[in-house]
Amino acid sequence: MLFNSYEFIFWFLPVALMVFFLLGRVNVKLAAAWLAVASLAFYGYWSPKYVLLLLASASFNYFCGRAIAKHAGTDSGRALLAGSIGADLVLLCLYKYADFFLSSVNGIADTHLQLLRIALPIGISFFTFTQIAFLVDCYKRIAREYSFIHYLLFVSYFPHLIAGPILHHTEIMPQFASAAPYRPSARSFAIGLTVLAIGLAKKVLIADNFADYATPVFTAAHGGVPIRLVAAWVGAIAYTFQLYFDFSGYSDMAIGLSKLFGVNLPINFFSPYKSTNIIEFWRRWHMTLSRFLRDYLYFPLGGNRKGELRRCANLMITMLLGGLWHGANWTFVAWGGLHGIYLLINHGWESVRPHSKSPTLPGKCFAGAMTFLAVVVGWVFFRAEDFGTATNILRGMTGFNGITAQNQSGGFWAVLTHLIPQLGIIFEGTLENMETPGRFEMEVLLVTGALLVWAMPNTQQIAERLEAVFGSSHVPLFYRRAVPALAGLFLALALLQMQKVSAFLYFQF
Amino acid sequence: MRTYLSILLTAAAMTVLCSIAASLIVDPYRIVHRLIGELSFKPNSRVAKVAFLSHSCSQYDSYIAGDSRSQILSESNLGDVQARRFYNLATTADDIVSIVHRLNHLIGRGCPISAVVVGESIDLFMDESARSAGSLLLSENPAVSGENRISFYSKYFLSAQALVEYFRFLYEHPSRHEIYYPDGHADYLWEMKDDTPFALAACRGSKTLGAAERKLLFAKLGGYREIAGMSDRYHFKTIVWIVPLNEWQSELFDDPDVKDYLQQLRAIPNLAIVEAERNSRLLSDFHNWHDCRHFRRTVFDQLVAPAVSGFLGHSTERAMPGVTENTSSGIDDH
Repeated sequence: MLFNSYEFIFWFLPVALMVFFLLGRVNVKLAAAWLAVASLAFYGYWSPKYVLLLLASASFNYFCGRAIAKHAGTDSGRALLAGSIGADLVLLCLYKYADFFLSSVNGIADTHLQLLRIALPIGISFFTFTQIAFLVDCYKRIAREYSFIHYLLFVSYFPHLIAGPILHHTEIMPQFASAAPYRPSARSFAIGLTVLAIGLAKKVLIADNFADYATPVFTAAHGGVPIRLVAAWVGAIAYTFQLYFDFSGYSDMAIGLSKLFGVNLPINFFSPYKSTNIIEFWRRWHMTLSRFLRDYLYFPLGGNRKGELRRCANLMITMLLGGLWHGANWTFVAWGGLHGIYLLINHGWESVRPHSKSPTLPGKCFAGAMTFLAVVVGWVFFRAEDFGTATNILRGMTGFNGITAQNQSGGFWAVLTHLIPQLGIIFEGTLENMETPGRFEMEVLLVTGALLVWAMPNTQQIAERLEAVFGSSHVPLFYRRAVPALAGLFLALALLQMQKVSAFLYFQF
Repeated sequence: MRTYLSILLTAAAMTVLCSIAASLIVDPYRIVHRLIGELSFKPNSRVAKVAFLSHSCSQYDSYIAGDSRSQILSESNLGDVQARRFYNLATTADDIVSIVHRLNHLIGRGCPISAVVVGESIDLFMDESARSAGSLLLSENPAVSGENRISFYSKYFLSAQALVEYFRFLYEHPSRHEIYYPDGHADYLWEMKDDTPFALAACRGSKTLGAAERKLLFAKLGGYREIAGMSDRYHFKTIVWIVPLNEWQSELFDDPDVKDYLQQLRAIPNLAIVEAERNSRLLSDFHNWHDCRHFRRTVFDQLVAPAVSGFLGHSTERAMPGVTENTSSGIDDH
């Protein structure tokens, strides 16, 4: 079930909320159990058989976690930890990476190993990572003993289940154990609905429209059509915005939905395209994944504690594996590797640049533009189905596939159309007659996207402002009238555009 | 806080209600309004035409079917129609399978059918993705498709998509009007304005079919066999005319697959096939074209109509002058 579907918004969510709060008045454990069952139903709506997989995974990790906590600091505890993490990774590899591994072997060794073609359970990367963190923290005695219901709810909680944020047990399970979420709160509803409306609008009104430009370009590139300069940039930038609005929209919806249940989820995005360097970008983009990779991969590898060379190697390993986590394809590894190189360059620059002067505004703008450009190039690998597609787009972006100009049917231009293709200027229209909406819409969309990304506060800042305003004795008129009216308008416009249900990009990861 | 929530929910409800009201009033696809008069937006003529015929089919006994190329034709273009009363059932991007479904629906409602004139385009292919991309324009009337009516109407009125597409189209094509007449045919009020020799040259298309197109082309034969069977069962004439292409696109007829397809089409019994002269000067003069793919009536009147008229008036066993002799059928007048 998708957040941006009528079944979810008009059926699942109201029922889940009503029963949760009704049961919460009687017995909080019962309410938590209901929420867990509802979350499993939410997951099972997509594929009932994988509910068993999710249940088995949660039960296995819960009982392993308890056993590890009992033997924490001992050899048997370490062995248990290694064994249970290994089992989690085997499950993840079986479902997500087995065919990638087999096809890679077939490609390298010219063998013909049969692919398994197992359907990828949605969200497996997310629920595996949250549980690995739990196991490690049980060994470190950070995780205290939780009830199974709360643990199951932590793993399966539907707002985060299929595309994050990647939760840490210490920030979510104490909330389930407290009494606050089980009482309906108008304040939580007001903020939750506002954040949900913003997220839904980001996804339905903006991201899906950017997809109408990105998808035809990448599809044509995959089909071997040489992508010209303008089309390549349109495709790459459209995807850059699409991914941001899609994924941050999903995260906003998850945060807003959870807020309706009185549970606060961690933020996942903080205006990443406002970053002026790549290090900052990774502090703002998919923040919960960055946190996980730092705490459970980079630090255990040694972090920056074992010399400069080792630090570079650790960073690179972390980014390569981070790339692979996103999908079973070498293009994701290349994307991770590219960002690893960016980070190494950035760290190198940080160590040599003079720190005495604070950057000027033009300097900041230049740094921001360079960072954005680097990110756009990275997304080409992230989006492309294979290296041929990525190379095609990158060649187009650098002008090596020729330059197109808008097709003109009028006299002089029509003659030119026939006379000068040999100059490399091809009059085919800037998007090579791809099935994209009009140029005017593209310009409106790009300007809107740019304004929202660079000139507006992000959802988290809006939510924090609302929290502060609602906590004060006097709520300004703007927040009492204009903000809810705008949120209602966005919610309605998004609902009216939801006829064409589209999946969130991060579901595949 | 309660005021905040009430304003939010009221604003959302009001916006949704306003959008539904606007969609119903404007009804850009002509889902609930009758398809008649000058329109600045391409309607879903499948829905409107079937809806009209559901209560008026007794006024007609013959049908012009096909895609948008056939939509400009009326009884007057067919010459001597032997006292038949034609309704133009052609719709945007239509195909023979949908035509068969629609005719079956009409037969099921007891509508009389004496002749069907089908325009066959060998250069237009609609796969599933193309159909779904144009779903509002191309959706079949639920009475024919059996689609749930709530789900069908919600696409047009519980979503702002129809209005968004309407305003987008008005912005991009402010002068692209069409006039619809009570008998279902339409006038296209746009034309190629460019008088350079390259106006039609810009229409140059592919000279051969791709693998996917080949598959879609041959899949149509099943539909033609079905309509030929219906012709036999319900005693009506079916005349299929192959849509002429402009000079720059007509090389497609030389594609071996197209030749093979046409040969198989000609071999289907109970169908009369009309093929226009390929080298006519009419096809290379941009004055005879609305755009690259849509010819003006002159082309049909001069290249196709005489043969169609001949088949309408006579048994198809007779050879027609000026066209490729092509049928093996034994259709009788009924």
